[in-house]
Amino acid sequence: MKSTVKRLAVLLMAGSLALTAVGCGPKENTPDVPPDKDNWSVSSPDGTLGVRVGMDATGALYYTVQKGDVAVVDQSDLGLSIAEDDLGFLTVESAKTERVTGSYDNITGKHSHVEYDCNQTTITFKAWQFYLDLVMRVYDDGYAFRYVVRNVDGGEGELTVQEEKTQFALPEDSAVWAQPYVTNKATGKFFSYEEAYMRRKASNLSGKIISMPMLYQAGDSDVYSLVTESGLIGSGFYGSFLEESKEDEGTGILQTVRTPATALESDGVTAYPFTSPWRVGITGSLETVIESELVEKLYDDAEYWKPDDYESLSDEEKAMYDYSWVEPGVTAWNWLSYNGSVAQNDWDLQIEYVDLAAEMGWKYTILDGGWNSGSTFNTDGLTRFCEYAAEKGVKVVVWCDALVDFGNGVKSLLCSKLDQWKNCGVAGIKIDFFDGQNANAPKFQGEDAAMIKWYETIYQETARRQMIVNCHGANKPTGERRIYPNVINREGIRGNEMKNIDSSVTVNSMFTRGVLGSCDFTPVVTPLSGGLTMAHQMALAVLYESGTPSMADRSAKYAEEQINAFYKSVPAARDETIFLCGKPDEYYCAAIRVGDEWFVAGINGILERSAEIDFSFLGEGNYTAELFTDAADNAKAVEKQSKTITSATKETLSMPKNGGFVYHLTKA
Amino acid sequence: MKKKILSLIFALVCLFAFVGCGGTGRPSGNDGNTIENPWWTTEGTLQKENGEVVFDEVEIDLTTVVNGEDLAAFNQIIAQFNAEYRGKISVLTTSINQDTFETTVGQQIINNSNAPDLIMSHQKGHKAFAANNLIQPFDEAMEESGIEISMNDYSAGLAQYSDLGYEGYTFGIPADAQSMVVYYNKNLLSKYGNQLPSTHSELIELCERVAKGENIKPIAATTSLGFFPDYVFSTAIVQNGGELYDEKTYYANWASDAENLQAFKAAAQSLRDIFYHTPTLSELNKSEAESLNNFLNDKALFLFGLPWNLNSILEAYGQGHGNLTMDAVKENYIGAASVANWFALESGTEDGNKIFGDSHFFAISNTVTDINKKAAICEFVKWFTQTGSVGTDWAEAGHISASTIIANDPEYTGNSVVTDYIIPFYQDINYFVCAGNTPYYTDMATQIRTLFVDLMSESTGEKDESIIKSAQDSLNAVIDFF
Repeated sequence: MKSTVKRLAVLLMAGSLALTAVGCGPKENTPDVPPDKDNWSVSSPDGTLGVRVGMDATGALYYTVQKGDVAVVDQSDLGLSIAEDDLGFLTVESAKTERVTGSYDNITGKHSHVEYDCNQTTITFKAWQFYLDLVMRVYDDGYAFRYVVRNVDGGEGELTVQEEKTQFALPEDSAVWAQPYVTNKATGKFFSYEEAYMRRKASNLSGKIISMPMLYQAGDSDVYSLVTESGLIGSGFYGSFLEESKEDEGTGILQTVRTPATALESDGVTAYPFTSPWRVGITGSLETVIESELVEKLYDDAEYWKPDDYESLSDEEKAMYDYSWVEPGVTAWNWLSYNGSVAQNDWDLQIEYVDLAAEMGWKYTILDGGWNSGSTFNTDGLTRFCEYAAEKGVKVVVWCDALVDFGNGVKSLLCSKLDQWKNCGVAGIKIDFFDGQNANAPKFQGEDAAMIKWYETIYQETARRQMIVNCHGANKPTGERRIYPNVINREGIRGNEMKNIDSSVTVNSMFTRGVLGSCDFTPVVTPLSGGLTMAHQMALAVLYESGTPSMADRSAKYAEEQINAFYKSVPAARDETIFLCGKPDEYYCAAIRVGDEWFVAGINGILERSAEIDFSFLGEGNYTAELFTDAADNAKAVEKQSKTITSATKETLSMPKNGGFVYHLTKA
Repeated sequence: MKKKILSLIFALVCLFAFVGCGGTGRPSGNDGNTIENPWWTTEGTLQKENGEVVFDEVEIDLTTVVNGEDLAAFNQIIAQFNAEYRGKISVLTTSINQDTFETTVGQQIINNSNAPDLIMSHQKGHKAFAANNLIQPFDEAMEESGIEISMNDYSAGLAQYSDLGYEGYTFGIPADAQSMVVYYNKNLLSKYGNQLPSTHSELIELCERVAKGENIKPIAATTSLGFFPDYVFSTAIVQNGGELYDEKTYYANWASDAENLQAFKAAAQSLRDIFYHTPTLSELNKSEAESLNNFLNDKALFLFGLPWNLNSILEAYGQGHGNLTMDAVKENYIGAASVANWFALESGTEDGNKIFGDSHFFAISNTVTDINKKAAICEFVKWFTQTGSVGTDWAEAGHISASTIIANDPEYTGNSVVTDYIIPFYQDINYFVCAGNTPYYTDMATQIRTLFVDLMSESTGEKDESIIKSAQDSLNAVIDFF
């Protein structure tokens, strides 16, 4: 009723749009810039990307995005619907524009040092009892916005988000690379972001629930945009998907909707002041999209997480919250090669992989699912194992189920098990099945708001114990490692464990999921299917960014003379990532710098092709390169050659169907 | 009674997948059904240039039941098509496990929500789809587009199912066939005469010699795997002259028809000859891993396995024998055999050549109305089922082609996987038998599995008749319920 009354009142006022809120309640801040009535423009620092926010005559908010002369987002709705107030009819309170600049260093990520620079406009609107802030940012590599809902009296409480109105109206003729929400309806609403990305027209998205990130090519331009979210952890909100509403079917207008991967009917209840996750559009050329760190840059210069009692801690205890103990490192992982034949509680197998890690100079080994059945790895066994590994300079990560092992989300159980494992010498956890598929009647799963909170609890409790985390059966990255750098690896990708991966999966993942953060693809050496070659797999070992890249082949494989040195050099952290060439559905080539070394790698799709590699990104001087390419007529073998490369070098690499290549360059 | 209730519950679950779709009620059988009121519609104008159909960015959503080791090969084939037809037609795939395929896809089509345009699933499910108006025939699109897919170009054994009993219509296009196949240990066979058995008695005689000579159980089989009763037991039935249902009434006549009863009893006996032999030739209820490990460790002469696991079996054998190359394993260690004639107690019959299994058929969802999309579907299906390189790639993933065009293509006939494994697995695909046009195949398969367990729990055939009759009555009760 209140909503209707206000709607009538606003309609009476419409036209004059005297929405400057005179007499409508307390003002909060004096704006730096007077309100611009009904539209506001925000541009990127380089001026090439612009967002326009507007309010129509009925008081509804919308926005558009333009890159140069290319429409990236057509007029699209903005806003939230909450039970406690009518945020559909708003008055303008203030608008404030500021420049946000700074830099930060990464422990893991595409670049070890990142600088950020954007223009931010915060437009404050007022309803009856709440302010709605729209915070719009535009960077050179994309745009992002989020909502803040605050009570006019500054108080705290609970509100219910009934619907998020945010839309992304894709320009006509756009092509979309999307990962659909797929679940087995017979068993539940489970989704762990492990489907393939497929191209479809924006006009053919009816009935599809699309997960983030979603890449699209704006119309027939060369401008791409990767739509996703950031800042989910800590927001109190659920994970979101994209879907055409019934009235927008066939239009390519996608609305941000509540996760369908859920154990709950609705969980829009959250605390206020409420700050939503960022809605992000990484926008520009493919080079811009691939190299972007926008999802993580949105955290500005945020500090790593510290507990509430931080100030009362000793200096020694405080020191651990600099997270210098977080060590990226390659991981020996035997589950994939031995699943079904040798159980994870086989002592000899696990010792073999500790020895492999030690021999290869890798930092970690994993005891995967089933390790703690039987008595081999009871407290004494696990301790002895960790001691053995420690003597070899190898750290131990143990697998666990995010719900089943912890009473479907009981913090005290989590803490006691982490304590137990930590006391045995365990360095981290590989925590699985956040989708809830193994749990008996979980109260939350997938990307329910309560599950997002459970993720946060896990990150915090592992941080307290100086343990790293590798999330499996998980959701997409939303920049969490900017606050929790111990979250060093993540699945949420269609990986080798399927054993039927082909190049149509890997190539497109580079342009989509791979843009957002670490990917635990678990590369092998000898391909598991006919859809990838050995050189393709070797390239994947460096192309997927990951804090603990899991090497999944049999231990003897890595001992082979031809490839041994390469796998000893595979990086877990990198200083720089450069996109070289490629297109979705076709191929992908990139260069990765680690100190003075470079890895240059490419993966190919279904059609044989050549890739031109221009090494001008190299610094001065000569580099010695080891180059691995596919052996002729044998997808399971590579040829190796040595050569000298300089910044003047240009090479043409022939890639067979599903093939690849990888260079390892070191300063001569 | 408990079985009867369970069957009814299961049938209800299946039925509810299609409730509300305006189905035709209980199908009346293969009586040359005519379709007086087509339930499908066609809209739009076919785009043509110079009399030829042209495609402009047509997207086809394909949902497939392919979900195993062969999925990579399938995706590769789709990627190849999309690359060849870029800008014209693209196929987007979703894979759904066979356990929930019919329910999930049926609901999607009924609700017209996220429904596929094209289905690639087992032929046995298609009659139920058609009976409930969920799929439509290819004919109109073929005629308008001139993209003809003639059933004369497919194995007669499979092409016979394309009309689903609706005379004059093409509801399904066969792609392949698959059943449980036989891998054999070349060294062991060589040691015992190097001659594959071609009759049931030869099979038993050979296995007996191997069992005694090697002190092993020469047949590695996993009877607890649903594929065993689905494929092997059903194969034993048809090889002994049995029929799984009356094609006019769809009722089971397993005991009520005297000849059929004898065939079912012979099928049971042919399997008892293996599982209750002295010395033991094979064991019931072995786990899949145990059976496989026995074969991979040279402790079995034969492995009843699945054709799409060919590569992993060869690779695992190579790894377990000093990292042999795949080529070496193929050449010297693991061969392929067919179960044709292995279960027919009477040798030399034509029925003995039969192998029962599944066949992937393509079918168009009833939700497709645009003639351009229907034509694009014809183009894709023709490409998939008649292109030699595609058939070869699909064969390498374990599937014999249903197409006679592919079967005669030099790339296919010259491929070593085809010649050394795929062809020997099946011998003559014209004798391949599917569940056919019963809409009650799910209920029938359930009863066949139950019947197999009940029969094999008896070491003699004394109770066979009553067991078979009970299973027959249970199935018919389910059919009566509808």
